[in-house]
Parts: sequence; structure tokens; C-alpha cells
Amino acid sequence: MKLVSWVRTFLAFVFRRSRVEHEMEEELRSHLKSRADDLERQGLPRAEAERQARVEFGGYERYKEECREALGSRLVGDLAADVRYGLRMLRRNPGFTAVAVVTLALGISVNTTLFTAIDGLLLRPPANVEAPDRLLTLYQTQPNERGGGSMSVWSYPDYVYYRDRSDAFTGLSAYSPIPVNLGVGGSNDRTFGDLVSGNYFAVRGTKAVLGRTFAAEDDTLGAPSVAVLSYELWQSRFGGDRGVVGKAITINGRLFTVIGVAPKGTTDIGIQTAPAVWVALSAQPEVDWPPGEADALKNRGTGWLTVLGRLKPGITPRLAIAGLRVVARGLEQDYPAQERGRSISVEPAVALPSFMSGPVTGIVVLLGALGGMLLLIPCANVASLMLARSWSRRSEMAIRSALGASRLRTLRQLLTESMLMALCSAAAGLVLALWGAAALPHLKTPISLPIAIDFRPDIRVLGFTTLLAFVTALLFGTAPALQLSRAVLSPQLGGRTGSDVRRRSRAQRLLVSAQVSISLLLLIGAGLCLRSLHSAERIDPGFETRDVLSFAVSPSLSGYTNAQADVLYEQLLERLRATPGVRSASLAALMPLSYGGLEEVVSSSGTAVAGQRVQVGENLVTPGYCRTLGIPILRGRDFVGGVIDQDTVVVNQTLANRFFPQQNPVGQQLEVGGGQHPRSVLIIGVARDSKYRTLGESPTPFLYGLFRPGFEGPAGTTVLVRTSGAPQMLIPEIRRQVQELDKNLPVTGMETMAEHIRSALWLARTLGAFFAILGAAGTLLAIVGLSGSVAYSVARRTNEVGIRMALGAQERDVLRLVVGEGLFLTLSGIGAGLVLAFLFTRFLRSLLYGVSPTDPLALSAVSILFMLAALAVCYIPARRATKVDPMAALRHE
Amino acid sequence: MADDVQILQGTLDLLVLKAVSLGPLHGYGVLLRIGQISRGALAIEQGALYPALFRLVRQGLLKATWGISENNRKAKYYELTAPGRKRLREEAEGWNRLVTAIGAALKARPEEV
Repeated sequence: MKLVSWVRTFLAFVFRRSRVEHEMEEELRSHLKSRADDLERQGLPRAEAERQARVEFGGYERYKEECREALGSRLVGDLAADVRYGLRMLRRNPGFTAVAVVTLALGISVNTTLFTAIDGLLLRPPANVEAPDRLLTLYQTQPNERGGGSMSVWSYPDYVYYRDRSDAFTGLSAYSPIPVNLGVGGSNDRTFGDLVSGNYFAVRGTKAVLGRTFAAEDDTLGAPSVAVLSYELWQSRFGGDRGVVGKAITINGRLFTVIGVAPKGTTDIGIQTAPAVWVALSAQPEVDWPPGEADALKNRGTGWLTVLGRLKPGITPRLAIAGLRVVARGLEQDYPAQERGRSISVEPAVALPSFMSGPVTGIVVLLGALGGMLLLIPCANVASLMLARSWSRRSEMAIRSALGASRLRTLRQLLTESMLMALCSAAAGLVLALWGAAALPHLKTPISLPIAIDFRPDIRVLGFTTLLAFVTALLFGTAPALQLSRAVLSPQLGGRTGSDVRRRSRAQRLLVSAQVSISLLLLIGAGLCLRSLHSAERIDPGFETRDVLSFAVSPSLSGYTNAQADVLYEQLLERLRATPGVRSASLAALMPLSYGGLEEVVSSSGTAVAGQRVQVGENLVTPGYCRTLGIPILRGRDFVGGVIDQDTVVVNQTLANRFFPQQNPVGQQLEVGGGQHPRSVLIIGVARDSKYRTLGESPTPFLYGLFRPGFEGPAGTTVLVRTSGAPQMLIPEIRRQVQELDKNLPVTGMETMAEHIRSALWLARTLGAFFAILGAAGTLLAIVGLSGSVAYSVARRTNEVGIRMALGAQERDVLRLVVGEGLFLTLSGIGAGLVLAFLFTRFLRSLLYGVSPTDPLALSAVSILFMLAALAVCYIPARRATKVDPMAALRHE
Repeated sequence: MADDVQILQGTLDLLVLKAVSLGPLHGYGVLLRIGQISRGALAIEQGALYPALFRLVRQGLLKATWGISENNRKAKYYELTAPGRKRLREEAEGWNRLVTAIGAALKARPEEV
């Protein structure tokens, strides 16, 4: 920031200017004195001579102004004068200034915080990446049943095939995020890391701050196991020890040697997760990821990698994709069995993957709209305040115009004042936003990925806030300034005309209505979220959520082999089932209602829908899973364990109806798996439909396979326990049981099912709270604006009321007159707000459970609430109006 | 002051240049000199002189330095620069041509048309 040099230039300007001013003053005075001297010599008394000299000189200030103009310092000089004058005006009304600045600062800080978040999430380029715009992410595409193409991750052999044949890139690298059980000096932590190809750091252009990053030799089978640490891990676990290179750490139970430290803030590109450690792809069998895929480096059917390439200089993405398509055709010809129909697409690596950009854009638009509203409300309020105050400044404006200020000049002065106020607010808002941004990373999200977003405001945020200040000043300053500068055209100083009053109050009333409508919209948003939460609690997840406890263990990350894990699970379930208070216990690969899930492609040859391939959800469970969750088996049976369950599945109603309408699905065969060799499985039972990923989902085809050790989800293996009493009571006992089995096995994510479902509603609840807070603040502001407007109008109409009462109007009539005006404002605001609601609430649709975005209950309840508040507020000034003494009122003016 | 000639826009600059060309002057001095050389026929509001002076300085036609006036007051003295001298010559020629032309035009009689 060149702030220092800017300040210096500014000061130089101010001082130089004051010197020029000083000299000009001196010169003109010297003229007056010389003339007076001459006149005195001609016999006039000194005082009379000086007076005469002044008269002959003409308009002293006017000529000074013309001199400034001649010097060319007029425009900047005016600005400096405006700023000085503006500061004086702001200081003279400290109360008004404070209220306005605080109001605006709130609006600005919300917007700056939002911008900081969006900037950190989406706009900021990843740190420590050289020329990120030259990086492309490559996706393999697979034709899907709907005729489109779905993008997929890469298998290692496919990646190698492309890597060795793509001339458009200086290098193609591959990586895969992995869960890591990281051991440093005997203590273990669950965290995340990246498996990366040997050229990964070279392709990114990321250099080690200590030691070295990977070379191609590190990524060869049989190479020593080495790891690169993140800067943050190096600081937190090694205290920034420069002797860390060469030390040993354990990753998922295996020893690795540290070879270097990556620079601070290094994240993945695209979705900016922050790995704690990087390991070469050749170590894949040792870190055991993907789970149960020991042959992932050889298997062309296992997709698990993301491929990142750097374009050669002078090569365009279009050129690159043409070359890649040729490679894709070659791959298809060489391996027709696995690769049929596959093609390739590329996307800029720094952008969000296109499948994510839709929802993310939606959220950003929503947040932007909210932020905009929160800027508009304070602007409307301040504009309203300024309009109310403009009355007292009319004579000042009239004097200005009488002294020869043009309307444009007056406008400029008024806008400078607004600008100063906005800048003060922006400074205050920036401070508030710094606090807000500091709080952002602490927001608890339901996703346990370490998304490292740099929320520290930078120069872009500063720029944004400054821009915001200017926009704000124009928003709240223009209407009052236009209004006031029009006042200068009024015929007499300090006089008032009826049309001015009408115009002034019309603008203010418009502002009040606008506030009412915006606040109403926010409140409707809050109401919808509230209704949605209410109805979400009544959504039947399809299983009994009471008295269920869940937690996760990850034996493979503690060095268990599959056979050992099998024994461990067996013992764990036995112990749990024998614990008093436990009614049943079982394992599942995935916790239900956790957003993600497994999928399989399923087809069936022996039915009416033969040949149709359907994407279905899947979970792997042990016998008793359905009983533990209280999911009834409608036909057939549950798993019982042992050989008899070999190659069997339990399906849900939706899947059964899809494949076997009018038939008994039990005993039928399904083909599972998309590749060349689908497994044939036997359906042994049909379970009732339930919710699998989210509470809001519609019924989806789903199947349960038998749990097998070796498959461990990213969160570990889920253990579900149904208890006979309050599940929380059993938490210490269950922990003790696991500890007794293996004290090195961490228990993670212990929670009751009720808690888990609440966290599934996290987004709706957070958003609802957000709307409610903003809506309440907005309503408060709007009500204050309304009461101000009505009170002002009462004061203005005092003599009218007096006349009416003198002519026999009753208290009731006066009440109706005043309250009627307030109600009219509120009603028109509510009307506009409802229209806005119909236009905008549809963007909330995906977040609402069982509530229409135009839910009549939410809309009408909020409107009525607003109405009542407005009535209450209008009643007070109206009561005061009825107390008017007609005689006093008539003498009012 | 009925016979005062309303000063034409732009001629003030010419008069100032002419006045200063006869020797460095401060502002009040320029005014007196103009009164003197125009034999009091050209009267302007005194303050109007200064915007003209400032404008000429800014155009680089005049140069200003602080000095002490004859009655011991600090005053700013103006003198002609080389471009100023050139401009004065051009403007004077232009003015003379204009005066001649207008004068001839006004003397025109019906038989000459």
C-alpha cells in the first residue's frame, strides 16, 4: 500500500495550497492599502480612504474566487473547502452524525464480511501456485443413461497413459486427498493429507521452504517412504524446528521420513482443502487408501485421482483438449473393455468444478442480495434522517445560492458531506468486519474437511469497502441533496412553500415504505426457515431416531489388517450387546443423513425393465442394522451373518417397485457394478423406505449389502447402538468398552441420532437465524423510520389539526387521520414486500423442507405482525395530536 | 463616468501586457499605468485586474516576484516574459488590423458600395 506516499502528496497539496492562498490574500491587501494610501494623500481621512478603496475594488471574495479559478486550483480547492466545511457540519451535529455512522457502519460491515468470505472462498487465487491460470483440471467423462456425460475421477493406469502422451502440458500430475492418522512422537491425530504424483509440486510450481519437495524418484515403487509436511503442521507439532528434515513420523501406522516443508497456506487447488502432509502416490498401498483397494495403482477400474496439468507456453486450452481427445481415442482402442465411450474434458483448475458451481453461485447470489438489502435499509434510514434535517438547512442553502453558488456547486458540497459520512462509516464498518471475519472460521460446519480459507481481509477487501462507501454515499446522499439544492430556488430566504413540504415528505414516505418492504422480505425469509425447521422436525426419516447412539472407529488407520479388524468388530459388537442398557448394536460403512453416500449401478436381466441400468444408493451393514434403527423388514429377512449371506442384498421399497413391479422381489437376482463384470446378487429382503442422505430427499432406490471389514468410509466405520434409556447416559460406558479392547483406537463423532439429525438441518437453521437477526434489525430500523415520519407529519400538521378540531372534528377523526397515514405507508410497504417475496423466495426452495417458498402462513403471519407493530407506533403520535389545543395550534405559525 | 469605454473581453489582457511591457509593476501599479496610458478612458473594477494577472502568469506570459513598493509595502511585481513580449506584439498587430478594418468599414459611404 502506497498510503505513505499518498499522504505525503496530500499534505504537500494542502500546504502548498495554503501558501498560495496566503500570498493571494497578501497581494490583494497590499493593493487595498496602496489605494487607500493614495486616497489618503488626496485628503480623505484614513478610515474613509480604506472604505473607498474597498468599494472601488469590488467584490473581494468574488475576485479571489476568480483568481483561484485562473490559477486552476479551483476544483481541488473547492474539494478541500468542501471537506473542511463538511467535517465542520458533521462535528456540529454529533448526535445525528453518530446515529448515521453507526447505522451505515453496520450495513457496510455485513457486506465487507460477506465479501471477505466470498473472496476467500471463491475469488482469491490459491496461495503458492505459480501462474494458476495456466493450470487445468482434467476430467474423464462417461456417457450416462440420460444421454449426458458425467465427470469422474481417474484411475492410476489411465492417468499414466495420459501423462506419457500429452504434449500440450509441461506435466500432468495427479493427487488424491486421504484421511490420515498422523503419529508424531507417540501421539496420534486424525487429519487429512494428499497422495500426490512425483511431479505434483513441480506442476503447481510450489517450492519447499525447508528441505525439498518430491522428485520423480520418490514416486517409484520401492522408493523410501518420504513425506512433505505442511507449514502449519511443522509449526504446531515441531515448533518450527529447522532440524525436522530426516525425522520420522507415522502415517496410518507406517513410518515415513520427512524430506521438506511446504510454504505457509498451501492448499489443494479448486476446493481449497489444506492437507497436513503430502505423500507420494507410490506409498498408496502403505497408507491404505482408497479403502480395500490394495491394487489401486494397477487397477484401471478404480477411480480415485484428480489430474492437474500445466499448459505449455503458447498452448491454449482449446488446442490442449484437441490433443487430449486423440489420446482418449487411443486409450479406448487399447482398452476397449474398460474404456468404451470415455472421453475427456478440461476446466480451469482454480475455478470450482462445474458440478459445484451451480449451487455455490446460488448461495453467493442469495448472500449478495441479503447484503444489498442490509446496505439499502441503513441508507434509507440515513436518507430519511437527512431529509428530516434538511428543513433546518434550507436557509443555509438559500444564502449559498444568494451568494452565487450554482445548484451543481451546492449539490457537490452536500454530496461531499455524505461521502465523508460514508467514509467514516466504512472505517468503522471495516473494524467491525475484521471482528466478523475473525469469527468466520469458527462457524461449525457439518463437514469435517479442513477447508482452509484465508479470511484475512486484504487490499481487495479494502478496495471493496471503499467502493461500498462511495455507493452508499450516493445511495443515501443523492435524494436529500437534490431536495435541499432545490430549496435554493425557493423565492424567499427561510420561507417555505406547500409544494416543497409535499415533495420533501413524499421522498421520506417513499423511503419508509421501502424499508418496510425490505424488512418484511427478510422477516418472511426468517419465517420460511422457521416453518421449514418446524416441518423438518416432523419429517419421518423412516427410522426411529430416539434412543440411538452412534460413533465411529477407524481400525485401519491404527494399523489393523482386515482380518484383525474383523476380529475387533466382532469383539466390539459382542461387548456392546452385553452392556446393560444396550438393546442392539451394529455396524455400517456410512452414517445415514450425512449428505454423502455410496452408489452402485444396478441392472436386472430377468424382468420387465431388463437392460435398464439404475444408479442406486448403497450402504454396507452388519446383521441387525435395520433392527437397531427400527427400519421394518417388509418382506423376506434381514442379514443373519455367515456364509448364507454371501452375495445377498436387502433392497428398499422404491428399488423393489422399480425393478419388480407386481412381483415378489425376494429371491430375484440383481446385477451390481458398472464395469465389465457385474456381480450377481440375490435379494433376500425388502426394507421400508427411509431417508439416506438428507431429510429433504425424495424416495430413492437403495440397497444394503453385507458389511465387510476393509471398507472404511472417510469418517471411519459407524457403530450404531440402540439403547433402552437415555442414550447419553451410556456414552462413558461405551468409551470404556472400546478403550478396554484397544486403548490406541480413537473413538470419534460420538453423538445421539437426535443430535445428528439436528446437524443435518444445519444449513436451514443457520440461514434461518441469519434471516431472523437481520429481519429483526431491519424491522427495528423500519419502525423507527415510520414513527419518525409520522411524528414529523404530526408536528407539521399541528395547525391543520387545530383547525379541524376548531371546526368540530372529534378525537376519533384526528386519530384516524394520523394513524391512517402511518397505516397507508405500512400497507404500501407490505404490498411491495410481498411482491419482492414472490420474486425472491424461490431461491430458498432447495433449503426448505416441506414448505412452499410462498407459504401463506409465513407470509400472512409476518405481514400481520408488521401491521400490529406499525399500528402501535402510529398510535403514540396520534394520541399526542388529539391533545392539541386548537387555539395554541392556530397560533402555531 | 459616462464616457468610460466598457472594456472588451480579452482586451484587458492586452492592456495589462502593454502596461507591464513598459517596466515591472505591482498590481496597483498596473492599474494606475493603464489609467495613465489610456488617459483615464478605460475604467475597470479594480478587483477584476487580479484574475487577469493570475491567468497571464499561469500562461507563462508574465513573471511574478515579491518586492517592496515605493511606499514601503511588500508587493508582488510583474514583468513580461519572452513569450509575453511575443504575445503582446501579435495581439497589438491583430488589434491594429481590427481597428483599421472596423474604422474603414464605418467610414464607408453609399457611393463606395
